[in-house]
Amino acid sequence: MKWLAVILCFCVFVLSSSILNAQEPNCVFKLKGKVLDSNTKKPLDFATLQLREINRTQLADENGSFVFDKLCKGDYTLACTHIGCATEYFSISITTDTFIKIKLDHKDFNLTEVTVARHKKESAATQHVEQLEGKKLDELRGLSLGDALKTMTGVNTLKTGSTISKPIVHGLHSNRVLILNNGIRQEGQQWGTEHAPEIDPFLAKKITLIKGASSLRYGSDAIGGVILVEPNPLPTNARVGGEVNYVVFSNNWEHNISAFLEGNHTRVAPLSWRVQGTFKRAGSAQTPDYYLKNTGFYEGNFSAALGWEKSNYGIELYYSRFQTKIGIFSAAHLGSLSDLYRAIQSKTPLEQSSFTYQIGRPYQFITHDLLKAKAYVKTGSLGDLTITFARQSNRRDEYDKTPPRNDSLAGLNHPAFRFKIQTFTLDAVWEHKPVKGFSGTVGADFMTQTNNSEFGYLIPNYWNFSGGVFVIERYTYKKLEIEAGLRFDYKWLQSYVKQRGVTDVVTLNFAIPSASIGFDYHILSQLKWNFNFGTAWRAPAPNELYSYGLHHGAAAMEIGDRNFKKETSYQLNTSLEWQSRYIRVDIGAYQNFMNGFIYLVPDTPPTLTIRGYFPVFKYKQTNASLSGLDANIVIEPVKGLELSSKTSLLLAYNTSKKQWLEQMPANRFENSIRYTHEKNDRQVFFGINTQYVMQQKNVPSSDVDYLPAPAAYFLLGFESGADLFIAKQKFTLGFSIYNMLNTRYRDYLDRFRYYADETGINCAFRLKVPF
Amino acid sequence: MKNLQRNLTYLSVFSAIAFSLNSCKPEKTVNEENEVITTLVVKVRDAVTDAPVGNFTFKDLDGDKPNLPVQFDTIKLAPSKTYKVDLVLLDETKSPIDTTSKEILALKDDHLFVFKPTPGSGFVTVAITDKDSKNLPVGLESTWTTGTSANGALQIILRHQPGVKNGTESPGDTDLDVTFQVKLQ
Repeated sequence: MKWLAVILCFCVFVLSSSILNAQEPNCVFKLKGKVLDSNTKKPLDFATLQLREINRTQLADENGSFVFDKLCKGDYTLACTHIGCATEYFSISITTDTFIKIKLDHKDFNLTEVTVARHKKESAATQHVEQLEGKKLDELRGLSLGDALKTMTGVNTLKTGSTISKPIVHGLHSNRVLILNNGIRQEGQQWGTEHAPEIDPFLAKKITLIKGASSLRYGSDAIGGVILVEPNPLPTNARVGGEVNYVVFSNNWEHNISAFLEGNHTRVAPLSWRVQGTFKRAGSAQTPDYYLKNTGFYEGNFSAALGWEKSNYGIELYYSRFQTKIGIFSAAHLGSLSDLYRAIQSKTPLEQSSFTYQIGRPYQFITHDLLKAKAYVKTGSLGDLTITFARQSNRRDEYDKTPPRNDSLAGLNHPAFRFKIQTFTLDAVWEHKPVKGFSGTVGADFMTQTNNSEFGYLIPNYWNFSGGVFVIERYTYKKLEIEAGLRFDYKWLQSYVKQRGVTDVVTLNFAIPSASIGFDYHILSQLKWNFNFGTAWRAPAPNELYSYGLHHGAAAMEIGDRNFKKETSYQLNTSLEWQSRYIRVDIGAYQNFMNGFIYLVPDTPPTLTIRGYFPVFKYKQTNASLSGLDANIVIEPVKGLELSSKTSLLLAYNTSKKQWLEQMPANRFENSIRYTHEKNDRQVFFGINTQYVMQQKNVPSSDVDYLPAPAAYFLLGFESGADLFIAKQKFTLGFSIYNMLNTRYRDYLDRFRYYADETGINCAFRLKVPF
Repeated sequence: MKNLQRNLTYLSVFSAIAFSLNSCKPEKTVNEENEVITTLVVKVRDAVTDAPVGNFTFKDLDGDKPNLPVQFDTIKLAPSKTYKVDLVLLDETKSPIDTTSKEILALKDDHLFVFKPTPGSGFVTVAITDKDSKNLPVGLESTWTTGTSANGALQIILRHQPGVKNGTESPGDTDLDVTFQVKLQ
């Protein structure tokens, strides 16, 4: 495997050197511009301007002027960021030399000789926000959503072996992290720790993470944070275009192919469309010493969008389907406590295999459908109104390791469990026009959801309604921006709880307000300070209330508690951002007090069943305190050379029991060095990155864990990429190596850490062809 | 244009409400088709006379769910004797009661019973007498030879080993694991 890596690296370098000397295409145009403060009408210095499609960044000078030269003909998105203002986006068609005047800090802006298609003020201005887009996102293609997000500070992944991962934000996951898939809150099976988000990451042209609670705009239950997965807006100019991505990983020979095609009707200008699809197939993953049996998977996704857009109103229809079959590492599927001890005591997994693409039992088969309709009206004097309706249906089939003994039952090939969740959401959001420095949003959302299980009983069937209204107002005064919001939610949950053969109908009601206040202050033109205080709450989920039985494959009895009250969070989030020519620093600190935090704890004594004794895990409510720090420092001593350092620290304490909280991510440090050579709109880069994860020592002293938290580990990685033109067609190549030293390690937050090591060296080759 | 806007808004609101009202209410009961083993009966006969000595039962009506067993007998045998033992497994959640041991017999190539007496020697010695198609032991039928008077225990484990059975306990999953108290008196 190592020689393969060397050869591939060599290829990348040969290609990259040839690219730089290659014939230039017809790229001679200039985009000049000036950035002004809309209040003072004076130039704004050192704004950052980025052409997202080609990932070229320019810093405006003291007079606010900037120039992008040697641009090819085409459509670009210009992102303008200034320490005093939220990022603004402009769509620009370059057909000749162009001049653009940008006024920031105000909803209006003037442009000359350009067509501006849309602009958008970022939401959650007083919160700590991180984004993945453009080249940065290209380098993560093929990774799962959880693994892609892990490149941000404060984010970890909760894994179930090599095939399932979900994001943890500031120590919180599952129901506490809200994911918006193309503007719709993802309602899948997020309650389960081994249920990965049912989203195709290739859909995203931008992934935004809003850390911490108080995102009143998206829901009161986003205690850990909100993840926005967004495709590009539909095209507005009459041209058919698209992109093909191909990614291959060497560890499990995972092939990914994803493509989209989009266009705009030539004669009916407001009509635009996009179709997109992704197919993935992976075989058995391997650790440095052995293959992980039954860790292959496949995934097939499809989406289509149709838009009708006029200057003052528009409609968008969107449909997507996500389908996957995931093999579960079979040596981690256990029938009893003695099986568990046997598996733990064995140095290598009890079941091993050679490489195969075959997916055997146990496995999960998941389908998620989303249908969305959105309509908006821009009334001019009254502001903008957007109404969104969506229907999601999620089906999750879990197949046990062994088929039923009974032949006629086995012949039906039914899963051991089937969960079907169907969700309807309706949102209305009104953004009013700024009035005397106030701008804001008023909105209402409504959701109803049903859960139907079949074949096996783990959580009850349920039916819920929830609705919320919110108002968020923002006031700008000179260098200070203040944002405050209020939200009120109502939730009704009716569950059909089956215990000892009898079904009880249990109905719960919650009606709770939440609030947030924050500010954003520019101490200096390069230095910005954010501060936010917010509350959030979450109703206990059906699995936390009513679980009663053996957890499939986990060899543990899980017992819920139907007396649970709501879980409330009080959070302080603050961050400092410094941005200058040579150094960019982004430091965020948070303190989260959780009242009634629901978590799973081992309980004694073990329960006797016909399959022997099982450890009992009970859901408990406690008060907890989560405090942490995320830091990201980037130094660019000379043009092209970038040194970066990321730190994510977290201390999680159970304040009721006066001990550490279990199952929390360990502290993590990442450092990297990268050199980028840019010529015209082509780039060649290569770099080395390191990751150090400490041992999680902050565990309760009375912790009844089967194995202590694994040792600290260090991983080395390599990354490189190049743009290449062949007959005016652009190709973007990428080559990365993960776990380059083939390090043996285990991670505290991998549920399969008891049975097997993490995967070993993995080379990735990426190709992107835009057209 | 104004009309169109209004109509579109109405349309989306109405369709949303219509969909919501139609959104099928959940079923109140879950149709379960899991296979559960609820009962293990140890049927003991005298090896010489073939006369029944007794049936000793472990019964847990919710199988592997948290409720405790409702019947858990102590096996009482005479010292220094030989017995023939048949194991019967039942699923009493089904109606009529499903005899799981018949299915195990049909799939004997995938199953193995393991017997672990405590103390390990001179107490109860178990010899499996039935074989599968590969001449590997199964364990539905066995002979038990008792030692001198003593109190101890006998653990009976059923290993489900589809495709991987090799005569040892290691491969596969545990379907049943019951430890009976045994009195030789």
